[in-house]
Amino acid sequence: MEISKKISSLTSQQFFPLRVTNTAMLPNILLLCKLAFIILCLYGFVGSIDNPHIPFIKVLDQFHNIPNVFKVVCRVTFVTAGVLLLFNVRVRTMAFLMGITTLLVLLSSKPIFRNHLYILGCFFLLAGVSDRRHSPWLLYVQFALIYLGAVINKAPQMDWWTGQFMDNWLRNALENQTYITIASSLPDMLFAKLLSWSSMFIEFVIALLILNKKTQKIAVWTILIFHTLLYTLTIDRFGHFYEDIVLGLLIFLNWPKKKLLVAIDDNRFLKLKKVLVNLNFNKHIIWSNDSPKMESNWFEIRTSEKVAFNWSGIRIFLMYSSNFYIFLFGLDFLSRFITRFLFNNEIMHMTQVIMIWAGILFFLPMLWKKQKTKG
Amino acid sequence: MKFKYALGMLFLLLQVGSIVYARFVPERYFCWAPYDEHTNYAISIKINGELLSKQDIKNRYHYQAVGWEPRAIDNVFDLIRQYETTNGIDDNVQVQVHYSTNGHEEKVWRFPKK
Repeated sequence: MEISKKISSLTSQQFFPLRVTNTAMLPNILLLCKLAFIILCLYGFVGSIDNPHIPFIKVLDQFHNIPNVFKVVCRVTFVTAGVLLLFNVRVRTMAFLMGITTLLVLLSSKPIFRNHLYILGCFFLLAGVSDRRHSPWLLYVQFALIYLGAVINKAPQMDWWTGQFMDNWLRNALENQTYITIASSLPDMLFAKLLSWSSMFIEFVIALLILNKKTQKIAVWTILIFHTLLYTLTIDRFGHFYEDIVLGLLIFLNWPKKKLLVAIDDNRFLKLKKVLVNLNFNKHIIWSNDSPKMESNWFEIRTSEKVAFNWSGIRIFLMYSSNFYIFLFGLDFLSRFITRFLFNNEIMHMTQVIMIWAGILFFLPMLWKKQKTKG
Repeated sequence: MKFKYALGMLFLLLQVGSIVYARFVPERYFCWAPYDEHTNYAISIKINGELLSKQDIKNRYHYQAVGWEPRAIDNVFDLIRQYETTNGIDDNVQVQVHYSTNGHEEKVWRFPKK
């Protein structure tokens, strides 16, 4: 009992890392920053921070006269800010510091420039200037800019209209058998043109959909399906760009302002309920002592706007649970590590693709299904 | 308007600027242009007539000597040019980059230009 009380006391503390509420940031934005920091650490970003080498800003070459100062200062700043952010200390300041450090590292070295680092630098910096009272519209604009920039850069290139880029990339660079098989059964370059044109069109549409609050939900699904299709076809996550984009979608989550009331069938799921109650670190869910009113329902969730049951309810419950995103993130990383260790890269990617599509199919009904409005 | 929002907007405007700027230069940095072109390339360097190994080239530029460049190939030319006109200015180098963009015919880029 003593240990249980101690754990309970620890997890209810503000500095508990799995907690994302009651800070100066919106919970979903803070969650994004925490997971993005962990991604950068896992992918070895900290180790890759070095002294300036062929910098964008020439003045950074001056650091050659004082070796390792730039490297050490950037590493220490990034890691300290990231760890403090994990523990919910001055979260906006820490996110801003991480953003500035990431961008400074990119500016210090042309060879290190990668879009998957740049995007996280932008997320951190803009999260640092956001607050919990307003929607993160700066991040919305950031997301739209990414897709608008992508189209503006592609559209003037003839190779994107003739399919030459796509064909060379998939056929020669990646030796992608799926592409080669489909393309060979169609007229010359038709499949390549189809992929190129649809990519440009989808990117342009996404940029427009993001900028309208009413169409953001469609934008989220379009982004998720578009990038997952790309991952499925190429078996490439482009560094950690895929993870960055999927994590970035958290900015569109409308974290509930009022508490959620959840009831679960105690007769069947008592043990599960106990576990979930203990994992309710953010205190935004109130667990009812009663089972759902109707016997046919085994799960019920009430938000300020709607009430949902069973699987529909589970989807809403998971959507508003920070633990779920942390679990997905951990599952993704661990399953990749384990399948690569036990088998090979191909099986690893195949497993990932199946898991991701299963997740998408599970949540897909949320796109068109409206839950019963509370009346 | 609060300072923090002004700061965020300035940052976004800088990105708009860099997207526009990229329309006038061959390099593609900070303008959201990943995988816009795909170039197979190989860098070779002679210093005082002696060829450098791939590892030496990697150590020199912190960039792989041979491979696929998923961004603009001009990014590679740019970093070679900058290094050889600053840190490596006294080395009397001759650099050649053999490259083929999007499967088109192979070309050669040289530094210094002859």
